[in-house]
Amino acid sequence: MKNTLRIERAIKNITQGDLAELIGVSRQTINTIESNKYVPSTVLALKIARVFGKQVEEIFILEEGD
Amino acid sequence: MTSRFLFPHYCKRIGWAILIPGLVLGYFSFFRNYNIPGFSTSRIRANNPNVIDVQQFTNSLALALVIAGAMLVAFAKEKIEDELTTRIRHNALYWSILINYSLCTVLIIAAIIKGDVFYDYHNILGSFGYIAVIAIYNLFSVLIIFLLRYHYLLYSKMGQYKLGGLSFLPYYPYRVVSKWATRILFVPAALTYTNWPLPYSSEIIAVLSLSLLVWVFSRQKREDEMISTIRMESMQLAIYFVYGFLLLSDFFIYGNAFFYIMMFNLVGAEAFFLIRFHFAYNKLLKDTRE
Repeated sequence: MKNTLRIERAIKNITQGDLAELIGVSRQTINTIESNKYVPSTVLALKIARVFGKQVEEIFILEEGD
Repeated sequence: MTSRFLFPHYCKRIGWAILIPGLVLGYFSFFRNYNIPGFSTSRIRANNPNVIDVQQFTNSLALALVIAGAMLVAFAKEKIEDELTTRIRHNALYWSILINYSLCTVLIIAAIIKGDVFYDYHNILGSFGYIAVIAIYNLFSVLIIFLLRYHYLLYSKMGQYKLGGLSFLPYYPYRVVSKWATRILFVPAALTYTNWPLPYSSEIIAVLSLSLLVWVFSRQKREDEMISTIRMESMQLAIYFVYGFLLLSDFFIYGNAFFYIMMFNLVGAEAFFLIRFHFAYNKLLKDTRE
C-alpha cells in the first residue's frame, strides 16, 4: 500500500509534527507511515483523511500484490 | 488500537532509577559474593545445635529491584503512546520470548550432550547443577532482551521507528505435533522435581522445552489480524503474570522452595501464554458464533 501523505501535507503546508499533533500520535509514527514502512489502522487512516478533508482512498492506495 | 494494561509514562523514569542500582547490586552479589552487612537472619539448626543457618537477603533484594525496575521501564507508556509504539512493544515482546526460550532450550540440550542437566558443574553460584544456572539467568534475561530490542526499534533510526515483522511456524505439522508432545511430557517432566523422577528426565525436560517453544511460535489454522492481537496481548499478560508471581515469591520464599519456583519459571511464561491465548481464542469463537 502506498500513500500521498507527503503531497497532502505540502498542499496544506503543515509539518509532520503538526499532523502528528492534530491526530494524537508521535511525529516518528507519521514519518514511518510516509515512508511506506507502516500501514496505519483504519481509525488512524480515517483521522488522517479527516484532517485533509478527503476520502481515505484518495490518500491511501492499494498496490499490486497487497 | 493502543495497548491496554500499561503504566503511566512517569513510571519509566522510576523504573530506570530502580533497575540500574539493581543490576549493580546483582553483579556484586552474584559475582563478587557481596552481602549487605547485617541484611540477613541467622538461625540455629533444629537437629544440630552446632550449625547456624544464615540466610542472606542481598541477592533477593537485587532480583526484586531488577524485576520491578525492568517491568516499569518496559511497560510504561511512551510520552506519546500510539498504535505504532504498541506494535513496537509487541515486536520486542515476541523477540525477547523467542530468543530467551530458544537459548534456554539450546543450553539444556548442550548440557545433556556434555553430561547431565542436573550434574553439578561447580559453578560460582553454588552446587545446584547446570539447569539451575540456566534458571537463574532466566529469572531476568527475557526482560533484558526485551529492553534491548524495544529501545533499538524506537531509537535506531533518526526521526522514524524501525519495524520488524513477526513470523511463525506453519500450523501443520508444527502446532499439531508440539501440542501433543507438550501435553504428554508435562507430567513426566514435573515428576523430575518430586521424589519419583522418571528415567531420562533430562531428555524429557529438553524435549518439553522445545515442544513448548514450537507450540508458542506456530500459527493457528487460520491466523488473522484479530488472532495476532490476542496472541500479542497474551504474551504481554504472560510476562505480567510470571514476574508478578516471581516478585511475590522473591519476598516470601527462600532456600529450596525458591529453587522450584525457578524451575517452574523455565516454562511459566510459555504455559501462561498458551492458557490465556486459548482461553481468549475460544471466547472469541463463542462470542462470534452465529
